[in-house]
Amino acid sequence: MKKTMTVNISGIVFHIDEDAYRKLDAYLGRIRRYFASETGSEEILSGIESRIAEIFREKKQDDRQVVTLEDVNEAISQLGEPSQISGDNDDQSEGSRHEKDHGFEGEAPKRLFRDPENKYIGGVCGGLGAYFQIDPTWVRVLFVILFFAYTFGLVLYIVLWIVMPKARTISDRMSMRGQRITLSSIEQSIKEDLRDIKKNLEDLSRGNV
Amino acid sequence: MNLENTKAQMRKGILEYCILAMLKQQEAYASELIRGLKEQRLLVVEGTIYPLLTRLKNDGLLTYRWEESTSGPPRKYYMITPLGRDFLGELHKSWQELTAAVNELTTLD
Repeated sequence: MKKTMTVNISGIVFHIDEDAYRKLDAYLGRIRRYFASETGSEEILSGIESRIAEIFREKKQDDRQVVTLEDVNEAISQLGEPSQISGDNDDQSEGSRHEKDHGFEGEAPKRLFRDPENKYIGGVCGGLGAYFQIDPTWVRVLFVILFFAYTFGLVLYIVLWIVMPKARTISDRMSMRGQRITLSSIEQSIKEDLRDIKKNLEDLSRGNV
Repeated sequence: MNLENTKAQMRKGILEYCILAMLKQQEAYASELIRGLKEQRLLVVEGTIYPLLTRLKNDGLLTYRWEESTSGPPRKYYMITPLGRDFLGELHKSWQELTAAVNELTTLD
């Protein structure tokens, strides 16, 4: 027994196995990312989707038939992976593309937040530092220079303060640093928080003594 | 020097030439072009044609119209523009020159 889903590909409805759907969705994602920078990337994607619909349609004349993982694999090899499509066969670009793809899977998309745990004024510099993976101190130095050199610096800081949301939750803080949100990463984050609290308490009691 | 890459580059240029030549004969939708190119073994993976069509269209060499299909998704019928015809004429000329030159050089031994 298998779970199936209903999908609409180029306006045609198909029943598709869950594993087949996941494979197809990942494939279209790779195509989308690969051609994202080209003008008319949407057109390229919709052309390929429409061809996939045609291939499935030829095979599944009967509406009750289900698109299987095998059908998806065949369609993908017929249409080709992005690097085959663009004919980028030289090893170097293949390697760098691969690395890029890999990075994509390993890291979550980053978001810009104000960092309430790393702040002097509003946490803007801390958040920028986390986003660009640089020491927030340098961002602060830059802003201080901007404050004195131009009034623009002050205006920029205030504007950023207004538009950047504060990282309130654990998941906010993780996407601020570009970490994928999984159960184990949340656990890790909570452990770190607890360690900090413990350290603060210890410092406090030591201070009292 | 990577032979595969050179072949791929050559094939891409030749594909654009062939697509324009096919569309000069009559308008066609992507799958018809794919069939024609596959028969002549010019196409390795079908996907290749979509970025090429989009590029040719963006350059004003092709245009298209939509047509409903009874057996599948709506089809985009591509046709060549006057600019595309001029371009094809130029390509044809340089192709003739190129093949003549290559034939001349490669039959020297």
